[in-house]
Amino acid sequence: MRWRPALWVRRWLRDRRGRRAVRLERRQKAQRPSFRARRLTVLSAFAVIALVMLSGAVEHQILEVDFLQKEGARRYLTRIDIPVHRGQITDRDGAILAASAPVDSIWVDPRTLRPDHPGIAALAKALAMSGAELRGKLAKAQGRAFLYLRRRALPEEVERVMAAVEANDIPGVELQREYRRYYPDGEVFAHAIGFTDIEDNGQEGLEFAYNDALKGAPGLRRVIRDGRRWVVKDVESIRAPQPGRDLVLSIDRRLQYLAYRELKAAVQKHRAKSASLVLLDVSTGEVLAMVNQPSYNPNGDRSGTGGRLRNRAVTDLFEPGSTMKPFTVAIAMDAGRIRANTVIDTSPGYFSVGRYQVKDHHNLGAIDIATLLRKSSNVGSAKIALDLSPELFWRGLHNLGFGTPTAAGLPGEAGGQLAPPKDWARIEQATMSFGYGLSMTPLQLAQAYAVLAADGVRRPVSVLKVDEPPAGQQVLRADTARQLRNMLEGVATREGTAPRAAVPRYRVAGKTGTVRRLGASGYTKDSYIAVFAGLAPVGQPRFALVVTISEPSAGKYYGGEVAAPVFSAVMEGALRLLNVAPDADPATDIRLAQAGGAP
Amino acid sequence: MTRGQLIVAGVLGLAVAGSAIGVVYTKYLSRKLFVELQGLRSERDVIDTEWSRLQLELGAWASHVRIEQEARERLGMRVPRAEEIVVVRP
Repeated sequence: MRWRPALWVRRWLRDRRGRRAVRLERRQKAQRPSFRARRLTVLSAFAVIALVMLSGAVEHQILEVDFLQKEGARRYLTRIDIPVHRGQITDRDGAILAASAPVDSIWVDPRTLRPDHPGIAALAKALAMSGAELRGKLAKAQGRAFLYLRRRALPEEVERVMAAVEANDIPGVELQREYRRYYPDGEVFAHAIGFTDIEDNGQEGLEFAYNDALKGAPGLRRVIRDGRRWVVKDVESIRAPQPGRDLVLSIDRRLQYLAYRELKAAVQKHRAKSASLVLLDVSTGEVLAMVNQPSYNPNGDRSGTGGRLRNRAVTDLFEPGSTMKPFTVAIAMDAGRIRANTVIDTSPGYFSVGRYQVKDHHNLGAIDIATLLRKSSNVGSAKIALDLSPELFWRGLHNLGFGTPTAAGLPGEAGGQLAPPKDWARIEQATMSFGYGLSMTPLQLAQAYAVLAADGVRRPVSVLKVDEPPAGQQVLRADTARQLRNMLEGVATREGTAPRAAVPRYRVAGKTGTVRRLGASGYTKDSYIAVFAGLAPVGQPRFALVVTISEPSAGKYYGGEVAAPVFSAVMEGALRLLNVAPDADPATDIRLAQAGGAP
Repeated sequence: MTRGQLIVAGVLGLAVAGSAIGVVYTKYLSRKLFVELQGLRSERDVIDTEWSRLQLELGAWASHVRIEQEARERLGMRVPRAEEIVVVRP
């Protein structure tokens, strides 16, 4: 057995080792440097940093949060336009009369392209200008950063210019996308439709009248862009785009062209100054054709004198002359003062109203109403008118639409002159009965003839297509209108003043007018307006047509010689193109095939 | 924590991770589709442009001035005279 010290010895020894270790530790501790200050410094530095960060966080996350979020959004959110096209204008069958097509404008940065660049000559040639001209333009624009070389260039021109740029290494020439308005039918529709300016705002005609509807409103959307400015997300639509509305006209392109061709030919043949033609559909009040001379090309040069741009059919007033007589008769018949078989004594071919005299060309003697209209007697119509009270006569004229603009809504439309009845002298009432002393536009006269054609119903005139014919207003008795049509049929016969207004196979009714023009100092001696107004077919009228040709200077000037042939040609074409059945007596010159049997 | 609670926490954690990846993926898909949409939009613009150009070209070719000229000069057509017309009545 191994010897072991007694228990108490072992305890003592162990305690002694412990005491020694503690003493050692105490001694070592006293010798180590104190890190207390350092520790405090570091800790407080940490505390300060933490505080700064905390306060920063509070400031950015709580106090400044709105501002910062907005600033951030500004850097990635943008609003961009959604462009819209200007609406199209079509005829009643949908043929395009005006449309916008994207084109390029050619521009140059004059700081990049110096006038002494060797490629200038080639570029100028592509732009169809001289080298000196282009150099001058560039020299003048030195210091600017942008110069249009050609706005809304034609595609061929763009191609030519860009080829020249490519071939001669010309710097600084760029393209910009814009819209250009095209009018495929050019001057045929020029006055009715008008045109737009370089900023795509309507300037004339329907382009002007319906500018807001045609133009539409561009939309706006909010998007997110990435660092390369690419749109990566649609956020919201701020404003929905409103595309330009399309405009459907009541005008028939075929009839418009026909009317344009015939009117132009007549103006050239008779060396006239100007002319207008209006063709109305009597059952709806729609304008089927409206042309004027002189015209212009809305795609090209639109400058020049204002006269060329004017839509004379609605802006120019004229005294209707004898074309007024049917309405004098109609008002008197409606009032029951005369009947179709009333006989009026016009001999000796003139009569006095106060100091003035009303005259006929010949002494026509005692004539009935139909003869009065056929032979166009001033004395007869003056006598009829003077038998009416001024108020009654005025009311009748007013109801026919004289003195107030039509509802067509074309810009610059004139209302004409119709003095109130209390101001009328007797001679005025007399001259008004044969169309002097009051004025109107060709459109107003056509509207009045449409009343005769539509059995006395006056419908608002419209240049836009009408789906449902408007009710209209009965301004003459249907019976009166019918009798007048039958009487006016005599005008377009060999016995009337306008045999040349006749249309083969159809019954047409109308009235000629040869009006002395009102010059600066009273009526002129040798300048006239030749007028023909009429309707067809007499049995069941479809069209009312007015032709006015101003200042024919090739010798002839009577309405029956100058205006009536245009009426006949256009009316014939309209009846044929719109498939109106012939209503003339089939006995004479028409070959008829029985249904089912070919001739 | 009991064993059951641990399992629930683990499953929820996995679900969170899964939905996070799902969000990233759908975001990626939506960007991709948006780029496609932009491409289609610009394609539509190009086609629109082409269409309006073609319509105008059609208008120019169908202009009555031109048609009449072609009919009269090239095809030798004319408007029939009155006696050449036969009216068919139903």
